[in-house]
Amino acid sequence: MRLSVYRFNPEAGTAPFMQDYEVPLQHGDKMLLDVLVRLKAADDSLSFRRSCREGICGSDAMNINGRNGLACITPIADLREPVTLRPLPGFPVIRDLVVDMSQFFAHYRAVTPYLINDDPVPARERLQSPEQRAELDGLWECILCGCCSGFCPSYWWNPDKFLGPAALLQGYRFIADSRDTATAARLEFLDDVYRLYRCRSIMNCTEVCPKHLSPSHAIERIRLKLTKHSL
Amino acid sequence: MRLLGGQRAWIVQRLSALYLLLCVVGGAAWLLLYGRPGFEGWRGFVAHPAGALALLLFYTALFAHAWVGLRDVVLDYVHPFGLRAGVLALVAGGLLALEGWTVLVLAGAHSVGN
Amino acid sequence: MRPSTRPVFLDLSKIRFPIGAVASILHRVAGVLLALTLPLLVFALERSVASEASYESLLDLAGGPLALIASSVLCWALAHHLLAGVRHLLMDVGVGASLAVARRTAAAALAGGVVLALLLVAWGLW
Repeated sequence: MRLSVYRFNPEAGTAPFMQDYEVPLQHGDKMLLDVLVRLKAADDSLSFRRSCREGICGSDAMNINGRNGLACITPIADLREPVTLRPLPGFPVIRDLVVDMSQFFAHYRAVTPYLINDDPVPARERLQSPEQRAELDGLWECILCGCCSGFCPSYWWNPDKFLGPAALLQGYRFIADSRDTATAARLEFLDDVYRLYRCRSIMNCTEVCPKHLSPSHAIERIRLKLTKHSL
Repeated sequence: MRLLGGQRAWIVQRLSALYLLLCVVGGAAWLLLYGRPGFEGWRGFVAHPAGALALLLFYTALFAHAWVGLRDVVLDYVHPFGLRAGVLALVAGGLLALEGWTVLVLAGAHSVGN
Repeated sequence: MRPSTRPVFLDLSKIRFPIGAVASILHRVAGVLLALTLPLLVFALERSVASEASYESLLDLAGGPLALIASSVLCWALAHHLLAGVRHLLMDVGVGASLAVARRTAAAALAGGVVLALLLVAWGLW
């Protein structure tokens, strides 16, 4: 399989460049990550993140032939050669395909991604009806890989101020949770020209989410909630 | 104080869009049905308080809609603080001037019409 | 950590944009074009009520070939901005917000904008 890979070595003091590779496939190679692991064995100077190899850890997000995705769950049969691999667009590159995600996680922390409830703790758990629990489906499954935020033009232009689709999806996950009592404060935090309202509903996030979630829909729901809340 | 609105601007954008949509579709339908109004008919409409008010609302919605849209373009692409503030001020000033001009035109047509 | 010295990959020509992104950026381009004509629009209002002669002269504006090109571009801008805008308004209230439908409505806005523009130009010429 022919690959063209973005290379950057901070110690070399040179600009990033594209390096071509030819990797012989072996029986059992199904996903792009299989090829990358083989490539790493041949050229150990190449850096990329990977861990679970089954689309749960969210480590191997990258730009594959112009679209963001997880290498471990991208079938090689569907890829046009040469397969072009670049780091997530808009993220500072540490080395090769490894990007700095500190800002991404700072935005995640900013939406207070945990249950807030100051009511007295009940003797047993805080119960939810099946309907209330169903509200969280399509939200909790996010693995924070960064594919969505790295494909969002609004995030590219204002990565420091716009929270980005991933953090906003998580923000909505707790707004939608019946057990959370901080909804008003959460909504007030998001009512900002940058944090939430840089989103123009382009839907690039939903296009590339490897877990088939819809951050754009979550953002729409936040905007509606804000409107209802303030009336 | 927040100078630029988040939700408020978004609502202004949506509401103005709805009114503009109504006017454009309604206006086009009217033209299709009745043809061009002719100078006297048109001036009669503009001179009438209801017509002038509808037009004033149309132009105001247009400027408000343009403000939110252009503001978003600037916020996305223009990053140096001075330039950003300057362009935003220019856009806001220009749109306010156009609003003033519209009011003058409509008021003038009203006084001529009577 | 030296974030400032780190390169960023953001070569837009190397990114494969989904159809929704194309409809969206053209919505923005069309909006800016329309905003640029706002002074003309107020001027047209002023001319249209000033006198019968100035009212008639407005109608003759779309005469020359240059004016035809300009008005065609503006017709497209209006048509695309309007259709893509309706798409967004519907998505705001949850209509057509799923990815499959959103892709189809994006294609519809792109094609419909061109068709509607052609109709508008034809109507204007007629």
